[in-house]
Amino acid sequence: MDDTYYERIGLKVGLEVHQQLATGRKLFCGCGQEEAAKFPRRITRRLRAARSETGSYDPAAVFEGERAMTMVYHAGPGISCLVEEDEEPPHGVDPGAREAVLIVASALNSSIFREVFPMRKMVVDGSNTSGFQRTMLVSMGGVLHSGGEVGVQSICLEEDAARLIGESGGVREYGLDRLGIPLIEIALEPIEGGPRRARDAALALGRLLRSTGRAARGIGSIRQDVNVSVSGGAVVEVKGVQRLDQLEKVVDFEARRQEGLNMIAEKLRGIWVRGPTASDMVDVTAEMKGTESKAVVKEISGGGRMYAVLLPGLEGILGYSPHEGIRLGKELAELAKSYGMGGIFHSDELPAYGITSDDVEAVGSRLGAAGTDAFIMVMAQQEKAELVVGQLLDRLDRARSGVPSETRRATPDGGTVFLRPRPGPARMYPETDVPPIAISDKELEAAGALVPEPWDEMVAGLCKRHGLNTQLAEQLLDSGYLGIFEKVAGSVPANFAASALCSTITELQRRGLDAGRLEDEMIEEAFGMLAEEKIAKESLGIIFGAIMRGDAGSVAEAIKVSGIGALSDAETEEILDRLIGENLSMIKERGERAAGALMGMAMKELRGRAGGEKVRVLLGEKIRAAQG
Amino acid sequence: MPRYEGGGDRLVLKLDSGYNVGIELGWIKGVEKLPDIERPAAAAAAAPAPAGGLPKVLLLSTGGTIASRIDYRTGAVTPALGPEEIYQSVPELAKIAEITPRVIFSEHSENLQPDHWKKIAEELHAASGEGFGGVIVAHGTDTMQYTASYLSFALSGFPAPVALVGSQRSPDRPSSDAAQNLAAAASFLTQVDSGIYVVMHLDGNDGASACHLGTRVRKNHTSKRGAFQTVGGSPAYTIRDGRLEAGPGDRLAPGEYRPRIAVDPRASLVKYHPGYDPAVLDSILDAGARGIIFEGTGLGHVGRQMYEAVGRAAEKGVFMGMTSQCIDGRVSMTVYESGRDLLGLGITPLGDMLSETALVKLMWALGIKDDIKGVRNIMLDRIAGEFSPGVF
Repeated sequence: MDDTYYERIGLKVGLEVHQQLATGRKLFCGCGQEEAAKFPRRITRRLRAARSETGSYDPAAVFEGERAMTMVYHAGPGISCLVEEDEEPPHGVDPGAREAVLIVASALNSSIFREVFPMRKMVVDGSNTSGFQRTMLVSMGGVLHSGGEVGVQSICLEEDAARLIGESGGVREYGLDRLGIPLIEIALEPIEGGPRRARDAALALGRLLRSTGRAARGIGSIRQDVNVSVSGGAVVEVKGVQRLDQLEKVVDFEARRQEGLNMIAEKLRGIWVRGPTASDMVDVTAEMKGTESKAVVKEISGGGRMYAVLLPGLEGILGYSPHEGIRLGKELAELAKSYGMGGIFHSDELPAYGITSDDVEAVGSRLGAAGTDAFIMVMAQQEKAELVVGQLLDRLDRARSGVPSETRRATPDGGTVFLRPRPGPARMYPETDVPPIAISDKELEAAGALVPEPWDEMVAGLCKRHGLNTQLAEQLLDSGYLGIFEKVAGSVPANFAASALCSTITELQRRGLDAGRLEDEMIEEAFGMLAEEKIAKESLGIIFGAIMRGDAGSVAEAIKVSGIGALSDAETEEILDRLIGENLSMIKERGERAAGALMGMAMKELRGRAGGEKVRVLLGEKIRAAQG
Repeated sequence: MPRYEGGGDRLVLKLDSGYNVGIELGWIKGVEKLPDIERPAAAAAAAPAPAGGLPKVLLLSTGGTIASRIDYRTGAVTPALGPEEIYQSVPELAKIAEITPRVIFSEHSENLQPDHWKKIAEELHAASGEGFGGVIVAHGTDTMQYTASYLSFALSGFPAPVALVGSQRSPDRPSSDAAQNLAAAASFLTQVDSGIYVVMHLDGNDGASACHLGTRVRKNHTSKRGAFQTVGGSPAYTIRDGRLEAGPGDRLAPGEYRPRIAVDPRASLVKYHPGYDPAVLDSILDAGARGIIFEGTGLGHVGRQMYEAVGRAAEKGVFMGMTSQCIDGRVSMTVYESGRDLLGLGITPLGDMLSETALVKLMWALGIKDDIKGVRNIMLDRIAGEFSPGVF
């Protein structure tokens, strides 16, 4: 899609960037920030919707409450305490996080409030043991420079949610290791002009956060929520965008989905008058007796029932696809799935899935369907079917006004799926366990002094100081390893250090290894050994790999398990002499041209134990000697 | 927004996003009155009506976290256990019992005094003829064990079971323990015949609540859900998702209803410690104490520097009982010479009675009897499971 398309449909994108702060502790207790490998304790809980201070219930909270999930929380010493278990009031706010958010707010020229109020934001999906997330609005307004200028709406300091480990059979399991890690949330003013602009803003903001040196690194340490709307539609919030390329795709997908929903609404407005309710649902289990669908047979033989509801005049609407992959039927199926159902059947897509035309006819005649009517079917117990069908009819009703306000989840390939209705302001009330925080002039001054220099200047400075090219300098800043680089660049060549920190570690990450395991101290130690020539350049990647793979917990251990270590010149020569001896015939045959093959053999044995350059020189000498 | 605490030089704003923020008054450029807006009616979920034919349960509210709601506009703490509200926030109650809520007062439990105990007992006594199958007393957790003890003594043999219920996590949060405890208490009351119990979470998990004998229970943690524990044994019952499970703990055989609602708070709990100044004990006596419960060391001792003051108390006709600060186990004052000395000075060993329970019982006994002998007899009479059988 070109940018004129996005302009025509009135696309607006609001970004909310969540960045974990690497302060070494949690926002409201002293637990560490490490991800746990094992959890010795488990706690079972249920959450229920509670009323807000204004007396109303939040729709998202009620939605989750209706689904009646049981939560199992996994806890353990060091990674969680009674605060995460919701068994003790929160302690004081992490001073490091407080400082970090003030630096970021100052860097964005955002107006910082002189008194900050910890609030409770209702979250009933179980990702917070308390049923709310603690959050505080620190500042409003400001400007982000990202090519153009993008306004800043607000900056909040909040606690991260628990880590979802799994969900099955009405039970959701969470790890408490991530719960409570300080997060900075920055909401930007809506961006017009297409996905690319949104991407640029996200990139600029990510860079600004990293340049403060307070941002956590690693997978999931920065997440974007994206609010997308098109003309005439409500705002849709998409959660969990983790990569910039995914961000672009998600925005494009939502643009097409929302425009498509508006097109569907136009068709629907002439036809659909709210008629059926959940009480018009009919048990059509008997009509499905002869079905060839294995799933249906299995469900029915297990005591499940099939229910159908007639949708007068809607033939062709559920299956109508204004853009590829955009159909009202799919929207309904996603909603049903969010209640733990497999999906729905609707007449526009039938016969299919083993449901035969006989089945369709039997159900249609049971419902009294005429030629232009449609129907939907769900498989469930009666009580659940009633709940879900009620929700489906409600959704159908709202389809007349186009895009409903809802929260969706980003899929890894750049699509979105329904998650829950969009929460309203009803979900916020004061955290009375923590007193309001007054921000002093002194604190503001101190934060202002720590504002990092602008990105371009940082890049230029790095190039100048260390002789890096612009691309490598940018990569280095993006990697978040600038601090380590500055420490080691004096003792090893700067270009080598920068590319080891960027490409070597990134390359290992791409292979699925966890950079979170590689602590700063380990990287520094490895570089230190390199500077003292205790290890070869090639060993760095091997050491990092062993640690990131989880095979080693320290540099020393990594060296041990990988069998690396610098060989003395005599030991290196001994190995080379052996190789020469074994390959004399080849040397005689090919002369100096044998060097390539021999170098390969030599490095297979010597990688990480002797420098490649040294091996090349020695090998050349030895080949000449062998010939001569 | 009015402030809910301190800081008068700043104004608290509630923004559309729901956030509260504080701005300095100097930031305000002008004040303009906007037209009144109509506050939309709260979209409250419909409260389920209780099914017919269910057992009737009285819900007496005395205050505390479980029964309160903070009004964030005024900062006021208001009782929030109206009939509608109770079914709305705990819909499962409508399937268990027909609840009649009554608010006696609305106090956090640290503010409750012996007169409040009496008032609760009088309300219960008055309701004893109204045909309730059980009574829930919603109560702050801090001093719940004192009230539970008092009711156990003053209303021994009460014709219906009574469950004191509190909440360690306020009901305004989705993770509150209030709803489960209320539902568990209601189920419990429909399944037992009598006794005064405290019903609270069994542990940090949701699902099971423990029912503790009112005289054997103690709040043993400042904040955990499972803070309440039966000391020296298991809870009398556990309620797991509405099902009653009898534990190996003490239960009381139903006895004759014998209400004796009286209290004299002129009793004191003295926790002995190294360095205790006997003049403090004298000052307690000077303040008019009629009885003292010692929380002694180990098997029931106080240091010999206390002997003279103890002797003076005995001369004044003050009742003195001994419990142990070990919390669990019984006092045994004949093992060491110091214990025998104290017995000689007139201190009465109180077996494995909890010190707080002993204090409440003493206040109650002083309300009934004028003479020290009568008080002692009551203290040694097992009325509500306050000490193990055969301990003397």
